Formats: sequence, C-alpha cells, structure tokens
Amino acid sequence: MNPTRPRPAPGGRRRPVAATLAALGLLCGAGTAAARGIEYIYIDANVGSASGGHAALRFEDEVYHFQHHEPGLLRLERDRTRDFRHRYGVLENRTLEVSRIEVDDSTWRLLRDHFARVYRVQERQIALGRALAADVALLERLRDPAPPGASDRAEADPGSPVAAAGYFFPAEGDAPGRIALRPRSPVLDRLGARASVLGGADELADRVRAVEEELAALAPWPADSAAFRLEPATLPVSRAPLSLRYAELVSARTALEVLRDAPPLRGESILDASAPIFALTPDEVARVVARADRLENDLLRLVRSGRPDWGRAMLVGMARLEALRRSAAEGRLRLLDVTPEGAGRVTAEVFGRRPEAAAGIASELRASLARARSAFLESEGPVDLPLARLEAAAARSVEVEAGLAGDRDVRFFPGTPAPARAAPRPDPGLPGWSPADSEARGADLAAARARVRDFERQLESLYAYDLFSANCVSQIFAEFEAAFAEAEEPGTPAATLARERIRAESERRLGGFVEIAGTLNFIPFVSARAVREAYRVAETRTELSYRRSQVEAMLAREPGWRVALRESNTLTSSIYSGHPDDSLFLFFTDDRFWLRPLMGIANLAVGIGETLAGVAWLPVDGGDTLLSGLDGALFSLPELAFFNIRKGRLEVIPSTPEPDSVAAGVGAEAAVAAEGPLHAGDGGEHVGTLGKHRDARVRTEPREGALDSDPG
Amino acid sequence: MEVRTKCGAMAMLGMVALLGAGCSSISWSSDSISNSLNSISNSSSESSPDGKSDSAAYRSDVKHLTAAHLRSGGPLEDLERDLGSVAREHGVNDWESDPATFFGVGQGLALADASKARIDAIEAGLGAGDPERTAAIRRGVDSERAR
Repeated sequence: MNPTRPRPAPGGRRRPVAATLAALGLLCGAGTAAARGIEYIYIDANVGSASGGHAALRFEDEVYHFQHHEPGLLRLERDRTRDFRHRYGVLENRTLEVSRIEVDDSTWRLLRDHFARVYRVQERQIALGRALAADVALLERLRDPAPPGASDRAEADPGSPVAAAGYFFPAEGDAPGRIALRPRSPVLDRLGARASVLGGADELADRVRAVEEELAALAPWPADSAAFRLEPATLPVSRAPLSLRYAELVSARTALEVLRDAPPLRGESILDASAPIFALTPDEVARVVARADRLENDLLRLVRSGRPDWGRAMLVGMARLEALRRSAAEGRLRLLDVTPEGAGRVTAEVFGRRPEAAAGIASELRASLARARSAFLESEGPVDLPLARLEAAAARSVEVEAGLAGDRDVRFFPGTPAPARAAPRPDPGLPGWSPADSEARGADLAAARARVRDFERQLESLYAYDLFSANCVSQIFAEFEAAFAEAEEPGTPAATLARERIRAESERRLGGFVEIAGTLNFIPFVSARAVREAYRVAETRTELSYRRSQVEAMLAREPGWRVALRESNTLTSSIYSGHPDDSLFLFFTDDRFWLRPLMGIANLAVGIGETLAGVAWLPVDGGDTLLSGLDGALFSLPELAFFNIRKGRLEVIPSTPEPDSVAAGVGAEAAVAAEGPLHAGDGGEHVGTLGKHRDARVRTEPREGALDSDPG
Repeated sequence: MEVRTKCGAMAMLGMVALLGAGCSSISWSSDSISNSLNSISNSSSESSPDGKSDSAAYRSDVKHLTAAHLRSGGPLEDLERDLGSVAREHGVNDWESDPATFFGVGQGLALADASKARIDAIEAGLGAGDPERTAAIRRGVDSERAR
C-alpha cells in the first residue's frame, strides 16, 4: 500500500464529487456553515495511577479533561494545548490518539461555551467551599479571648495575613522593621497628594471611616441562614462569606494606611537586579517612565473605586508603581518578587545533582525572560498583563540562576501569579459579633461548621467519582448531553429530557451518538473507537510519545536494525535514562506487538529479581525496592497477553515553543500538504510535519467521506 | 482486528479494576528530582511570546464568567468579586484598568442573551459613568452577536 495514500475509513463511502462540491461550498461560504473541529483525545495508559488511560477534549488552544481528585471527586480541569501535550506526550511519554470531529460553528461554540461554563462554575464552587472553611477558622481564632499573660490580643496573635502587604510591612520570617525610622516613599507621597487634590482633602479620611464602620458592624451569618444549594453548571448565589469580606476590608484598611504613611518598598520583596538583562538603556528608561505614569493614573481611579476587592489591587499597584519609579531612577529593572508563599522548593543539593538538566532549564528561562522584557517595554496598552509576565519570568530566572550558583534552594511555581507577598496586620476583630454572649458565639460557630459539612456533602453528591459510571470518559459524554439538552430546551437538565431527543440532537450535531450506560465505552481506549465509529470524524491523528517520536526520527537517519537494537531496551537506549519513579524493566514493549509476550517474560523476570532483592534490602530501605519490584512485575503481566501499559517516564525535557499553526489549532493535514510526507510509516499511515518544525510525533490518517457529510 | 480490540478492552478493564485507577495523571513522588525539575521547566510555559493570546484567554474567561452570572442571577457585587479572581488568574491586578474586561463582559451579556434592561444595568454598575467602559461593553455585545 502506498503509505501516503489516504485510507478509507471503516464503513466510509467514497463520494468524490460530493466532497469536491462541499469543499467548494466551504471555501466560498455559499450557504454552508463553516466547519470546525473538536478533538477527542485518547491518552494511552502508563504505569502509576494512569493505568486506565485518559481522555480529553480539545477546543483549539484549550483542553478540557476530568480528573479524579481525592477523596473521590471528579473535577473538570483545563490546560493550554501546549502544556497538555508537554505533560502527557513528553514528560509522561504517552501516545495521544486524536480524533478530529467535524462540526459546524454553532455546535463548536455550544460545546466550548458549555465546558467553559462548567469549568468556571466548578472553580467558583470550590472557592466558596474554601471560604466557608475559612469562616470557621476566623471565628475560632476570634472567639477566644487573649490567653492569660498576654497583655493584649496583638501580643498573642500576630494578626491577619494581608495579601500584598508584605511589600511594605515585614512578612513572616522577615526581620521586623521600625517604620517610624524608615524614610517615606516620595512616590507614594506624590500619589497620596494627587489623590487628595482629585478627590478633596476629606475623601481619603471618609474612606478610612467607612471601612472602619463596616468592620465594626461585621458579624457572622445568622445561625438559621438558608442553606446553600449547589447545582451543576450554575454559579452558587449567596451573600459574601464572612472571611472573604473581612479580608477585603482589612486589605482596604491596609491600602489606605500605606497611602497615608508612604512606607518604602521592603528590600527583600524586590528581585536581585544584578544580571545584565535587567540593565536599561536611556530609551528604555523613558518607556518605563511612561508605563509608570499610566499605572499612577490607574491607581488614582482605583482608590475611589466602589468594587469590594479594591484594597488588594491598590496594594499591588502601589508596590509596582514604586518598583517602576525606582527602575527609572536606577537605570535597572527593579521588579517585585512574585514567588508565591506556597511555591515548590528544590534543595540546592538536589538541584546540583543534575547539572545538565538545570543548565537547560536556566537557558530556557533566560530566553523566556528576554521575551517578557521586550514585550513589557514595547507595550502601550494596560500595564498589568505584560508586567505580570515579566515579573513571573524574572522571578523564575533569578531563582534558577541562584540555584545554578549553588547559593540556595530553588523555588518554583506555575503560571503568572499575582503579587501576593503577605504580611500580618493588626486584627480588628469582630466587635459586632455578640461580644458578651459566649453561647451565641458558640451557636454561630456551630452553624458555620454545619455549613461546611453541608457544602461538602453536596459537592460529593454532585461530583462523585466512580470508575465505571462517572469517570473521565463518561463525564465528557454526560456534558455533551447536558449541552444538547440545554440547546433543545434552555434550563432543562439532560436527565429530564427524552433520551430520543438528546440522541437526535447528537446525531444532528456530531453525526452520531455514543452510549455509555451498559457498554464498555467508559474505558478510555474503547471510547476513542466509539467516537471514530459514531461521530463525524474527519481525521484521526496519532501523536507519538516522546520516546517513540525520537525513535522515528532516528529511523530516518540510521539503519533500522541498529535503532531497533539500541532503543528497544533500557540498558542501551539513548532516549530513556531511567526515572526515579519507574521500577526496573528491560524492554520497551509499546512499539512491539508480536514480540511483546517474549519481552514481557524478560520484564517479568527483572521485576521478580528486583522483588527478591527488595526482600534482602527490606531492613535497609524500609521496603521501597520490594514495592518497586512488585510494581514492575505487575505491569509486566499484561505484556504476556499482548497488552502494553508501561512506557517508561522521562526526566526533564524543556518545553520549547510550538509554531503558531499548532497553537491556533490548524489541522496537521494542511502542513502535510504543504511540506509533503517526511517518513513512510507502516500500515499506510504517514508521518506528517507541523508548520516549519519537523515533528515526527504526528501521524495523520484522514478519513474520506467526512467532508461530504452535511455539517449542519 | 475486532478480536484484538475486544481482548484489549477486557485486559484494560481487568487492569483498571485490579489497580482501581483511571482518569488520573501519574502521581509523582514528592522527593523526585525529575518531578521538581520538570515542575520548574513546565511552569515557565508561555502561551505566546507577545502575550496576545493571554489577553484573548482573559477576555474569553470574562465572557463565560459574565454569562454564568447572568444565568444564576447573582448581585453585581458577586460579579465584581469574580472578575477580580479571574483577572488575578491571568495576571491582571486591576481589572477596571483593562478595556478587555469590559469587552469580555459585553460578550458575556450577549452570550447569555441578556435583555436590554439587564445590559443597561450592568453598563451602569460596571461602567460607573465612564464612556470608554460603556463603549467597550457595547463593542463586546455587538461582537458576540455578530458571530
């Protein structure tokens, strides 16, 4: 078979004329809805908790997937496509099978909007649960009087931690400063003066008074408050939890205090700027001044804002303003340290153990910092986003450079965190909370605890994980049905709408219907097949795992027998160098089918050997080797029956930027058409390329007959 | 092929039942060096060098948040709080200073098919008399309706 020749889909019909007409219609947009793609992704299994495989849904640059969280919740997660591929395809070394379902624009938007809403609602529900738990903690802290021997509460209690106050006041662990002896910040003095001119001399004093009055009146919800009712895909409506409003008011009070007292930034809250990349040219200094001017004007508006959470934003803004003014004055970028308090930590000793990996990461972060620096200095619109990206990139790079120098532990964190360096501030307490009635306080606290329990029960009821009926696969299709029910009759849950109507809607929009109940379709790899057979799948694509893609690339350069011999096993593989969490094994069996049982026997022998060694080492390592050996033997067993789970996991592989065509969701077939096949694979598949990057990871398998289906 | 798939399904079912695991990412041991280093590496990912897709992702989240609020019928203060949370997720400290916020709110109003009275109320509440904000909200409404 010609490897580049498209293979007819199972059951597919060849209708070239209709396909051509449909394609022309799409190109001309003449009365035909534009076709778009939703990708159903099956991620094959690997060892550990991923032994069942996984499933996800991709809408261009966003991937949605359900994850099992302890203690038994199934939650929707969202990743950027590039992060998802790196995590599963590279670091976890798993092959992704992608089925591109062709849909019209209205279906694409219906489903994407539905998943986006469900995600947002779940995030909000989880946040509400945390706030209710924080209510209990706050009431417990403020209920009890100061312990005997303490002259006042301030002596017994350091106060409430206020997010972003740590840029001006000592954070926990900082040497306590004496504010009275510190100079005033001319930057904040100028800001305060301008605010007074704009709003009148009494405006700030009025604001302070209003905050104090609301704090004085703040009290827990009455014990008989109506219970929450959590519903799927609906934001919970409630009055603001006590702890949330309390934190907002304490933040506002602190922001007004900073504006009044103008303390300078604390030195330990700013990044070290000694590296050459932080130096500014005169032209760049002018741009920093322009950015600071815009931020200052934004803050003059913010200080008069009526939004409930303005205090925290004001604290961050004032810290950034002072950092930018200082940058302009010193000719070097001075940036806030945005490393979150809960950041992960790698010890200097561990970091130094892998110098090559550490150097690779440092190089990646330097490049990232350079890009963020340029983007910030060239930006002209709102200040926040480019400055936040620069702060995050700088914080990561400075951490890793210090780690490379062996100076200290390296902290790490995901995403673009908001500056949040917390510092304890005096606790105003809750004067409005039944001050003399301990019985009433106890009742309020009991009610707050009951609210948390009720909330947890509802959450478990809504999102309970079940291996067979509510897992990462079944929930995707349940959400499809919920979206179709909503489209059929707004406000109607899928369970109350006639099954036939949902099925009909699914057939109209997706080309078919996938049944979960009473089938094996809840298993990830079975579901992928069901999707291919039922839906209007225009193309299936295999994105090879990192190891297999590297092998494919080697096959294009070296004799096949040499690559096969060297890369078939863990001893001579140039790609796999062992992983601390992998048990010992000898052969990779994921790309060998007929030899799999023989290789599995060898792997089983290695697993048994490690197990026996583990018995001998039991007194020394506490059973680690024994458990690892048992694990290795267990995952060798399926190989005896031609079934592979273990792929081997990989150490650090820096995530390199992908071409825009991939991030934008352009189908691989376009790139293949532009550059032609790179390498002939077996079974009629062809290996494609992505954009200008040759990527042996992607194999496309277009399905004929997809275009000639009516997408509407 | 059919037999192979069924055998595979049964074997997978057996393994899944045996191990009691599915749908989860690999759990990395906390003291693993590769876990730690990968975390540093992976946490540095950017969506685009120029940040344009960051802004688009922010607008999209604001849109869906607003639409969800319209459906639940919560007070404006709740929407303001949630806008603050979503903004912080995206690195936006002060959502009022970014026109993308108001554009996204407008899109969300249209997505939820809000009545004119509701749109006017949101414009008055979030717009706070600022013509630029109001204009951004209206642009967002028009943009979403035109799609």
